[in-house]
Amino acid sequence: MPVDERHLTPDQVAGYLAGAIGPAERSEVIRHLEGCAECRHELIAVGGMVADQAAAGLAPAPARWRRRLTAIGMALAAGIGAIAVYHGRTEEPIVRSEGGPGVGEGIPDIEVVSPPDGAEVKDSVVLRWRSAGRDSYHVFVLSEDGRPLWTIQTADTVARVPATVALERGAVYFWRVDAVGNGIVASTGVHRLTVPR
Amino acid sequence: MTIPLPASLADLLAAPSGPPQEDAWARFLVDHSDVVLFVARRMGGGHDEVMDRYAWVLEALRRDDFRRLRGYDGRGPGPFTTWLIVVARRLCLDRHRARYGRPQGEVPGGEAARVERRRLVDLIGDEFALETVAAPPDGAADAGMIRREVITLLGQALAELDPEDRLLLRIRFEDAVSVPEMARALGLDSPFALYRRLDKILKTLRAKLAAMGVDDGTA
Repeated sequence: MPVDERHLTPDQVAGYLAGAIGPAERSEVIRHLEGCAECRHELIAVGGMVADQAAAGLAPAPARWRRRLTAIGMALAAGIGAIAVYHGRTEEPIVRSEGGPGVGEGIPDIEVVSPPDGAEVKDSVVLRWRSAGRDSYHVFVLSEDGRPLWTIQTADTVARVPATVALERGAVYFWRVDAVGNGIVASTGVHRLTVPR
Repeated sequence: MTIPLPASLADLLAAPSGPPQEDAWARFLVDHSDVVLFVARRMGGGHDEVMDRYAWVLEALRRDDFRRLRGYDGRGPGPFTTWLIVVARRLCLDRHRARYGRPQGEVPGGEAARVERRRLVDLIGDEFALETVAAPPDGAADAGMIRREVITLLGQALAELDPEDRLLLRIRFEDAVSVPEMARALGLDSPFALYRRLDKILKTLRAKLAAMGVDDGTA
């Protein structure tokens, strides 16, 4: 694999640090590193991270944390741009809407009628929102770990989550409604609901 | 050397689009999201900034049907985790540059900065205390001229070194990375092995200079 004219590839950095590249490529990488301060800087920075990560990697992230991290990635997968915010001092991230792909900060909000954010829902989950003057709404329900559980496109401003969507007692779920026009034109943002034990 | 793709990555890259791919993405996140978060944290900033960066990296990894992840070549490079650290770090730096300009502490790439940075040969010259090189007894040449000649010879001696030894000298003296930090980053068991190797390289250089008729004054 030839050394990139400007900088090493991630393969080459990883391969050099692991001693996993052949002699010829290793020579090329060393020659590049000799003349490229930026790649040397990267090599030391990444090497330090690998060492730290290996030391810390013996203790995997707590399950709750892992679920949150996955939820953020799955929110992206569902077309929901998401960032994590922290509540109080718990350093526990939850997902907060930040607009989906192609959605800027100026996206109007759709007002949620019910259930309010964080509400406990009983047997039947009915999502209601104010009209955004659009013909179509895209409704998402996600599990706590971010897996899409149910989605529907509707012209109505109410959606009942069918009984076939098994919501577990004590579990946390996320939901969101986007008004769809030429792209997403308005959104409720991500809301949380819980099912009591 | 062939390193097999991590199972969750192989599944993700093989999964057809739609729900199977999203399931595979979820499994990939379970296995590797902590590495991305680790890098996002190491780039500094408060909690919100870190998590914003984390989400941004994930989004970049998903883009164009996981184009970046498909770039991982299991036929010869290092472990996937190291590869992912490199990619995530570069994405974090790209994002930072796009928003704020170059991060503090990042090596400047400008030509002017390169010129300002002292050459390895000068730094090694300092290490060898070349200013103490004695002028010839007849006093015919001034000290500045002698130093320039010695520096030229030192440059020749450096050029004859093993390239990896020369790289170590650059990292140590030109980039001013401490020996313990170098040892950790390069995966050495102890900094003492690196101290010994650097001493040996410097002794080799001194021997080469001596063979060229230069006494560096430290003998």
